[in-house]
Amino acid sequence: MAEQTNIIKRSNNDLFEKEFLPHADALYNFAFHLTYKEEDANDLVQDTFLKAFRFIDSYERGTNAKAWLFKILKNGFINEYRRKTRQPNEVDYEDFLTYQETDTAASVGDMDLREDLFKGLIGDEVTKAVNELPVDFRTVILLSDVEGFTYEEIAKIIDIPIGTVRSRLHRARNLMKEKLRDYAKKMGYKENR
Amino acid sequence: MQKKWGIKRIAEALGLISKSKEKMYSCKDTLKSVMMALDGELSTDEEKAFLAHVNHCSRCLEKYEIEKSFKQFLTEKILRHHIPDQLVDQIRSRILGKADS
Repeated sequence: MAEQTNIIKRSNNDLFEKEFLPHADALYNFAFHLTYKEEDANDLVQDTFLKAFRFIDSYERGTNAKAWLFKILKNGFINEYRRKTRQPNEVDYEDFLTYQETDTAASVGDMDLREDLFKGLIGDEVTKAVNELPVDFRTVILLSDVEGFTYEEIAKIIDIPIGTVRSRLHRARNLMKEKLRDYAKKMGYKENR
Repeated sequence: MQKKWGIKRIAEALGLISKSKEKMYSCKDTLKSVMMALDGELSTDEEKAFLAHVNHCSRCLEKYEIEKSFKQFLTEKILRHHIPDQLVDQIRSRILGKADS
């Protein structure tokens, strides 16, 4: 009996080491962008791993460990940090967003947002812009553009329909463009040169 | 009201008109698909139709490339915070240490 328990322990430890821990860096980055603080990111990541280990039996080996861990972290953030920091409840933006699919392209039409401008923008400004986004928008940018999750994975991580992922991401990118456009203008970037 | 079928449509259906796909896949469809395309969310068929159009329409191609650049730009420029080694060690010892005891 004790022998058997040891085997289970060993195999869980192995699973933890091989399938969970490799995502620690990505989880930490996500946590940092959500909480803005090193200390909170540390706690959030530790809590995530503790929970993951506690519920390791509900994880199916070989499935998407990264998405599973991100979901745990995201839920932990909502339950503990958002309440603690007393941020007002995020309203459901989709309620008042009319999603115009065609304006992805149209919205950049008034300005050339290509390489010459890209090169002039320093990373700090982009990071600052993303950190200024409301948390729901920040989250989808981080999950899609930074971590490369699919719409389906994002939908599962944050518990929203795929169509909402799409509209939220679309809106989030447009907000980023607005912020960076303002910054570029401030830096003297001329439109329609 | 339009006729349900015409010579041209049938010729397209039979593959006699080679550009049928492009014509059926308009600029409007392309604009709708830009975001999905750059996020890798189109199905194989949708992607084929999208690329077929974009390869022959410089306006749509440019829009696609602008958006693609922007996505890559965000990916590259958003600061990545790396987990301190000691935190990984701490997690490992808290969890695996506990599991061993």
